Amino acid sequence: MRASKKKVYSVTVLPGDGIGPEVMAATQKILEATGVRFHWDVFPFGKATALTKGRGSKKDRVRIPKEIVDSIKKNGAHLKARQQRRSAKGIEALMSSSETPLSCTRMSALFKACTASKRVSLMCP
Amino acid sequence: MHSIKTRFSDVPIALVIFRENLEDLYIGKEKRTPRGAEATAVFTRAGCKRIAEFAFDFARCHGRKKVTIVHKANILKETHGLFLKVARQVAKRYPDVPCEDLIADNFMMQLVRNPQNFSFVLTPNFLGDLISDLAAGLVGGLGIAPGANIGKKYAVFEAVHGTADDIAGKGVANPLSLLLSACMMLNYIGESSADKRVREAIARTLTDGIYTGDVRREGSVGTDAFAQAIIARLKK
Repeated sequence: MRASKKKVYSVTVLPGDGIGPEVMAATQKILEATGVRFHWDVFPFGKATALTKGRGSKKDRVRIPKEIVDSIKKNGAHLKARQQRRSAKGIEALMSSSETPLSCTRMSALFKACTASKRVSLMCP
Repeated sequence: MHSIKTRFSDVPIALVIFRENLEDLYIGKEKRTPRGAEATAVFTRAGCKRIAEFAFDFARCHGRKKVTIVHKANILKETHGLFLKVARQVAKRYPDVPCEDLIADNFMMQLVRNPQNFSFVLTPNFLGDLISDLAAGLVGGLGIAPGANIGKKYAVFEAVHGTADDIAGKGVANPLSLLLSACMMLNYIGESSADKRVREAIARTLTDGIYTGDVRREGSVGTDAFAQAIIARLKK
């Protein structure tokens, strides 16, 4: 295998709280074993690292640190285990922001192009 | 997953839930009032259209199986009414994809009684939250159900379960929910053959009787041993 010529995928990783770090470590190990090459951008994000958590409805949220948002913007793909969270508002805002709108049709076409197994099922039979 | 025993083991279940994920009751607009409390649900035409188009595009690319629009428009005439109206309009542009709409309560009952009758489910955020957990329960629990948030430019792949603090640090958690989410990520980035290989390795591992404690306590292995077993079964 010409490993040196293979593409390296940069993925933002948020292991989160609780069982998050354990299942994330297992998942990363298995992904690496496929031979696909990854660069992991790991950020601690969860209960312990919540930036702001104020009172009242609007501030009662965990904000997502800017460097994580920047990393996601850069990498596009993002793997997240669980964090004890209020609401991942930053990511939502990020996901709904559309600087270069990619229509849903094109998004799905991307899926089609990417899907050899012809089925990406959320629930496996 | 055929090797995980559930109440529905003899029923072929393949469900994809398309849940709008930015609007509805989850915008965080709640307030206390003199008489109690209020929450605001927001539905935009653009938001409804976006998830509906994604669902129908996906259905078209994945076997043209039936899309079921699930709503509560009989009671929530404006919000869910808009969702249903927009979803039906989108459906008209996909005459090759079969479509039906069901009121949520009726749908939930039917999903439990005959889960094999459904494939693609298109629904607003709050209902989708409930339906996706129910659907996960049908196939073996949250420990094996993956999730993805697909945006226009960015995608977040996440396990659907919580932090499970009671078993945290014990090395017994089932990594399948996150791993199957990661498989969707492999697909998303264009590494579909790696996705397929991981899925096959998972299937072989489970068929060989290797599983974590949430699947069955007796004879179960820990997170690391389970991951190693999957790696050992990965075809190069």
